[in-house]
Amino acid sequence: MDQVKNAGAFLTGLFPLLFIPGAAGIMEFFPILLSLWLPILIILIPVTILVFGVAGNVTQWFIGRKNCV
Amino acid sequence: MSDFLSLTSVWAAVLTLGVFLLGNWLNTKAKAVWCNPILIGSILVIFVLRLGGVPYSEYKEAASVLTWLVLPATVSLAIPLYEQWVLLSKHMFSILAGILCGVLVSIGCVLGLSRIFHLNHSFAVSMLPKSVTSAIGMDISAQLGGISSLTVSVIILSGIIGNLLSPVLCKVLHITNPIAKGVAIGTSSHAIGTSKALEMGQIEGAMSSLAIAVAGIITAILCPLAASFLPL
Repeated sequence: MDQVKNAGAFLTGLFPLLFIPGAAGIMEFFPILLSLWLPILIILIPVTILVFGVAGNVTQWFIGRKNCV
Repeated sequence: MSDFLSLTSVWAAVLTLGVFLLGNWLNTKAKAVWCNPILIGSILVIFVLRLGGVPYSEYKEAASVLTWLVLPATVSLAIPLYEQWVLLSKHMFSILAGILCGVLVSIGCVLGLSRIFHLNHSFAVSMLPKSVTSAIGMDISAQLGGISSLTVSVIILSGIIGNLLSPVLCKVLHITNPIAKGVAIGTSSHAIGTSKALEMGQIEGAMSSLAIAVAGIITAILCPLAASFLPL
């Protein structure tokens, strides 16, 4: 484990850098994104936040309940 | 020719590294949410490519040195997961319940909103897997007759939203437990979000990595069912 830990931490630390080329790829799809901007915006931002809140709070609630018992 | 080729791959890597460092520097200077290395970096890359009239495909090809590293970096997500194994197995039920509820909300909301906006079938199924990792999401979308370019775009944007907002959302939504934080990030914004979870802590990173895989599998199972509710 000790042999791979540093290399692994280095690689996962690079993630933000490694995602830039892929993320820039949305420039190819600007026309389709613009044609559907309103539904995309609403499906993206509020839904992502809602999923975040539900997944986090459900997990937290179950962990809390378990610790109380 | 080989000199020329190595030169071309260097420019893309240098450009990417440059914009990343700039974004990182901004991030440490100004603590604002939008000062995010992935967001600033990709906007600057798009800007430079547009300005220079370079097609994206050329940049993508040249930057393959970097994208090639995504695979070993993804494999190294197993390390924090291995180290948190005891915690993970202890809270397995809570973790799985959180991921399942998150996926159900995601699919349910996309279904509902697609009907409200009268999106046609191929647009709607393209957005169904928006919160999962692109490797799984693209397959789901393609299988159901979606448009893969739209799927990739919404997946990337969901990831960036999660990466940007997760520290703020944890505060506002009162998610304080590191396991719950990780589950929330991985379920809502896959690997791009996970890179933020790894910055937040080891437990957050491990749980977020696990959530990418589990949410991906659950979504792959449920999407065909969900698609059957959509008008053709």
